[in-house]
Amino acid sequence: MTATQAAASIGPMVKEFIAGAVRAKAEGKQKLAYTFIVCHHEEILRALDVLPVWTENFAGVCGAKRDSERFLQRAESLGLSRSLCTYALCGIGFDQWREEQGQMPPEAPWGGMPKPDFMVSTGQILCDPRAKWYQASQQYMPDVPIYNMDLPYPLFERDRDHREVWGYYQKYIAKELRA
Amino acid sequence: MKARFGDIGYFSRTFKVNGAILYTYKFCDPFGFEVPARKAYYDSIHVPLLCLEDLYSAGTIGQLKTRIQAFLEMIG
Repeated sequence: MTATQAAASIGPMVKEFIAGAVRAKAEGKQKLAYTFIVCHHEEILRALDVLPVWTENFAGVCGAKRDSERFLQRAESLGLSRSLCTYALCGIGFDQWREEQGQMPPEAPWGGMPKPDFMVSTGQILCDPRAKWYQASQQYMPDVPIYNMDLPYPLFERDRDHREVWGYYQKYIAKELRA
Repeated sequence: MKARFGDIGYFSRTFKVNGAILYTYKFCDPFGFEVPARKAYYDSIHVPLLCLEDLYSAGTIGQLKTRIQAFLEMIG
């Protein structure tokens, strides 16, 4: 597969993430969770039969479709500065709009982002908004709880054997999830 | 909101404040995303609030002075 073929396959994949979440919401059989990419949340959520809703991807889609401005403006009207992360601003503006109307904003990109049953924030990979984004969204959907999952990234060096510390990571993660 | 910002309410009562200034730095995500929730909290405890977003520099001191003076005049 070439790089351009790989890139071309991303569109349909992300489209299915978003459309799948909207479908699942309509069917009402599965719980939905807002969450962030590259945090290893997906494996845990799917094991619990919870469908992840990728809020960053949705903001990316809004941007790619040149349709994020109205959500950014809405976020700004709520008192959020334009100097903040625009992924988050797009998501918060969208959430507030959907909650205010009780339905998806008109012509929401790829069907829009459904209201989640809970949100999983994180402080991982040095991305500051991830710890605060969902708290800001919660302002407009106070009935949706937030959980935080910060999973450690195990150290890795090619010439060292890290197997002896694996157990500590497992213990740490299990304790954090049970807390 | 009380769980997150109750300390602000406690200090506002203890010190009998007439107003508050929410001062954040531009591009600071951890604080910037708090602004609407904090505004709503100050509103709920009836403490007038001035929100300022500033750069980490002394170059804005004149604008700051004007904004704060105006706020002080508003709350009497």
